Amino acid sequence: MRTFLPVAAIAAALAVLPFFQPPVAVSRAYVEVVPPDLAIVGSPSPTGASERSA
Amino acid sequence: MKDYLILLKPRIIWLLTLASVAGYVYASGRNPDPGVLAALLLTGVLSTGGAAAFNHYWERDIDALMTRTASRPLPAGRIKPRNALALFLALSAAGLALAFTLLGPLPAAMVALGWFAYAVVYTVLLKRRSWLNVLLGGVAGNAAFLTGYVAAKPLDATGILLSFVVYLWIPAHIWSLAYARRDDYRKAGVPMLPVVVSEKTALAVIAVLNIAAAVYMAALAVALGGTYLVAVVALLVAAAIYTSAKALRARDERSFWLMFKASSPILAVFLILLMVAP
Repeated sequence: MRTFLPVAAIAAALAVLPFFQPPVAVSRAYVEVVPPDLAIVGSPSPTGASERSA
Repeated sequence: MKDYLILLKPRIIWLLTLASVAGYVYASGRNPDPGVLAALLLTGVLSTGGAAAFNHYWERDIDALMTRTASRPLPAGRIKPRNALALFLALSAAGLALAFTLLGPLPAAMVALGWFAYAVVYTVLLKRRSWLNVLLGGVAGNAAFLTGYVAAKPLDATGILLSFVVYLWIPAHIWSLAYARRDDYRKAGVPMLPVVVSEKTALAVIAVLNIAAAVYMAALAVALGGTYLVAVVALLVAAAIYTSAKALRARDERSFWLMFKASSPILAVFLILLMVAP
């Protein structure tokens, strides 16, 4: 159980990871890693407004 | 007749076809075309049933060695192997041809990918050789969802992320069954995870995967938004975590059997919600 709980926590964190848009930009151009309709956190538009609330 | 129905593995057909229909309904903006829906149902039943009949044919020797499967139509001698083979060929050919004709090349490619992952990668290449069989064969789950998705719109990252809700469900589902019936699998020489690692490791991996699959489903529900979706998925996730914790604590066949049995309805409810939840 001592090993199980941290491993379960890491696995849960990894399962959520695909829905976090990292702040990625190439040559100042915003790079959409996570599709805006599935990003829980992040996914700002190039103007800084949230794609989800747009 | 009933024996031929068993060959098609109706429960797998139902879940994978549901995944395909859910992918289509979601991608169509919940405005599905009845003709496409009918085509997805037809090709899903034919291609999945064909691959399942092949699985029965190819595994008839190991099925005969396992208590759970010894009474299946082929090992019990109620259907001749060549009849199962003929059924596999007819259904698979019809499923693939109709998918191409009625749905187009991309959905047909997804049908072919799913069929290949289950019949060739899982059944022929890996089932008897490696514990990775489930992990690679699980692509059939992605393919089922994506068949419907690409019938409505081009393949994109949203579709791929959604399809992983089906993929992630597969290892925990199959391995919880393999844990509950590990003596059977050991006897037949099938290297499922609970056979090739210690019981303690298998327990932990299965429970962790089940929880990870549930958390992925929850994250997906939150990402998609919708109060009903999030509320019902919260209940589904609670059920998945409860069955995992119970199995981990009890470490007996019964609790892993419960985890196995609970995982399909949990996925089915999620897929139905994806189609209907506001």
